Amino acid sequence: MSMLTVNNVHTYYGSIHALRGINLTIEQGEIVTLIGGNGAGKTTTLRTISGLLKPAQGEIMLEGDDLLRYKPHEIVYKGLSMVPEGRGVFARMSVLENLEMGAFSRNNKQEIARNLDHVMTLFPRLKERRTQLAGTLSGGEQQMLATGRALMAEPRILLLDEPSMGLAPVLVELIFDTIVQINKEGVTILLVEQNALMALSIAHRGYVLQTGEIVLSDKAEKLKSDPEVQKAYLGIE
Amino acid sequence: MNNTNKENSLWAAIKIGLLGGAVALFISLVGMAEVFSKRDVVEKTMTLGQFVLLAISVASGLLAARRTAALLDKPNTASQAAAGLVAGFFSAAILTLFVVIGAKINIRTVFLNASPGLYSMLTLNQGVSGVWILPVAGAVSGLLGALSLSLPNAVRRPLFHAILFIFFMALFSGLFRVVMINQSGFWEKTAKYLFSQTGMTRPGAAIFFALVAAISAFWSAKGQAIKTDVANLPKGGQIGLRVIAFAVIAFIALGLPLVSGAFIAQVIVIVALFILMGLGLNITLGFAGLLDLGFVAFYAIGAYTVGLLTSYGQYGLQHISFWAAIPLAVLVAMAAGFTLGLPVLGVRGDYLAIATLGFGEIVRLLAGSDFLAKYFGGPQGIIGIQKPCIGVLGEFTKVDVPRVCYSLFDAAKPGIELGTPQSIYYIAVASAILIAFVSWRLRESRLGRAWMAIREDEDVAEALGVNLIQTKLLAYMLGAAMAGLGGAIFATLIGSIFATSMQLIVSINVASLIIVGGMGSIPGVIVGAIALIGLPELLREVSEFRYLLYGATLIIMMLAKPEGLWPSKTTQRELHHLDAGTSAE
Repeated sequence: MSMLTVNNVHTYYGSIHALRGINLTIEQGEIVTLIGGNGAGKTTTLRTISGLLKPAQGEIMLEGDDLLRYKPHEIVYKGLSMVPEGRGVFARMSVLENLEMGAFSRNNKQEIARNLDHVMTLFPRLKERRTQLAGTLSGGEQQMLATGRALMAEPRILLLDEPSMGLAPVLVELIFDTIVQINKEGVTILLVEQNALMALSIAHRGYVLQTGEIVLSDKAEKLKSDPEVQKAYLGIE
Repeated sequence: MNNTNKENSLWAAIKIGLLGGAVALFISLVGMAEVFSKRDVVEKTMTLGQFVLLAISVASGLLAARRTAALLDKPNTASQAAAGLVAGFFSAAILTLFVVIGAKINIRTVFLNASPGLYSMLTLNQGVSGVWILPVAGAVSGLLGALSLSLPNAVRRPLFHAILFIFFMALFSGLFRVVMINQSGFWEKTAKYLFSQTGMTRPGAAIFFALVAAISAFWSAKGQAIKTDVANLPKGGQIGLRVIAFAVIAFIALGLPLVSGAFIAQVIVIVALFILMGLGLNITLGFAGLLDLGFVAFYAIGAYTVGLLTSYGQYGLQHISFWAAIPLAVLVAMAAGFTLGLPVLGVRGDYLAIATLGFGEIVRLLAGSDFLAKYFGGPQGIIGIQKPCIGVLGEFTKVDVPRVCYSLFDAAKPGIELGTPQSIYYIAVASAILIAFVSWRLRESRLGRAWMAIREDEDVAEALGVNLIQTKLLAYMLGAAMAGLGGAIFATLIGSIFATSMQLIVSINVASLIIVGGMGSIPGVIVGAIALIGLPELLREVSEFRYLLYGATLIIMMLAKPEGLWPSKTTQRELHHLDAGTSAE
């Protein structure tokens, strides 16, 4: 059984037809990336999967469980976490409080404490700044915090929306290294990125999204060498 | 270069002076100066009105001197003193001009408060020929303000504190006097020695001045050492200190109504009720970030529930006791919170403010309407609300006859009826303390975290597993419950309720006191309620200008201390995040 299956999903913003029949499959343990230009529907896809948007039509299955039956806040209990675009840290809460909020869906205090330790080792910067207000962190630290917070829910699949946005190249590399590490620890990853080159270099497979439709899907290596993709998204003529 | 700076500093002094003058003119024309001049700071020496006007000149002089020091390359005492003199002169010049013009032209048709009383107050009863007093007094005050800058800190601080204390003492002298005279004997004699009918006596003022200055000087010299001494105490000693402090506070709190008289007790009850409302709104607005401008509705609902359930008047439904009605009032208010919350769940920001505003008005209009008058009494309101009774209530016999309160042990003897403000004080203060504790526990709870998360970002909170519907509804319901409790106590305090006392301005007051105290901070609510509700209630002179001072306070607060008087730790860190950055490990 696939980890996540998205079947013929259509999502509207009012009268705008944002997703026109999306099909995706993600297998257990994979890193799958979704690349595409501005307004292609990448974020909409993630928001639809995580339940914040209701599709007009289609099917979203998490390990054979129909996600559309659940309310948005229930989906995290099914093992799916999202790191939203622009990080969405709780600016007026401390780093520690943010991380604790990430474990909102869980009850076992010991496990949460263990998870907290794990996140702190993954992102030592967060440990240094744990009493600081999240709004006062730098962009890279906020991205770490948002990622760490999502991990606090102990997800089996993690959805990341543009983790490289607005970050210095060094930090982008650091974040992507961490993503690989998280994946190695057994978390399946769906990564949405504008920085297609970076995304394809760590992903196993990729989908190319254009005006609400999947136009291409293949192994990451293949996509990287595809002339169309190179021209449109990798800036290689 | 130096020359232009000199010119600049002259201009700055004139500008500051004129600004001070404008403020002085304003408070004269709104009538504040004249009302204040009826109260003395020091008997036969200085009225409060004169004090305030002189304080403006002193402040102008001080600011001008400070500005000069910043502008000049080599500031010296002489140039600063000159700047103070100029600023002080100009701060009084506007009023001088006003008196001269007012003597020629009757401007009272436009400015109602430009009365003969005001003119004679400004010229020390000398008439227009004595108008020279004003600029001279202004210039001297400005000079003194400027010179105070060159005083060493160890002198200036105590001086400032003493003058400030004298000002507040003058404002409250009437209250202290009445309370002390009621005690008779030694206290009465002391009161008569320290206070006159209208303010402080000369020896009284001198004693207070010396006392406060001495304490302030002592504290600035030794305060730090005492603090470290206390911090270095062993754990047992610290706990002991806390217990002593707690005992003293508890003793004062318990004993206060016994000596204070009905008026002060009633003011404290009203402050406690606003604290209850403030704590309630602090949950919806401060914690969960849901603006509610119709908050008075829940207060009204709590009050009306108690009224309808306990009144022995014609609208009374059940004639139950106050104690039985209180939990019901809280439940009904919670249900009302649910009813408000449900339709506005998806509404955010400005729209939420409008929707809740509407809710508050609807409740008030319905309660006071002729249409529902046979249930709620319409504009006549509900009267004859049963007072709380510690004991057994007699049977309800007929309309307009209160149920008799019998002793718990002997049915023939009367029980304790909590009919006076002094006795309601205990109910109100105990409720406020209880609800403050509940608020604090809620904030630290899982629910409290969820509220803060939705305040910060609803979508993310939802994605993390926060049930938005449940969390928001709980915020509305618990906030409403606290306001409902306040309303319930209010009903029994006054003994009757009218829809007209449930105005929008009450909601605005509650929102203001939260903002002034510090959004999301529980001690902030208490400080805000004392500052915005308690002080104007106590100061009859000021109450006429309550909303003027309100507005001024809010603006000054937003400019000078946007985090509030007693901010929550978070807000403090947010607004001064540089300090937070360095203090982080």
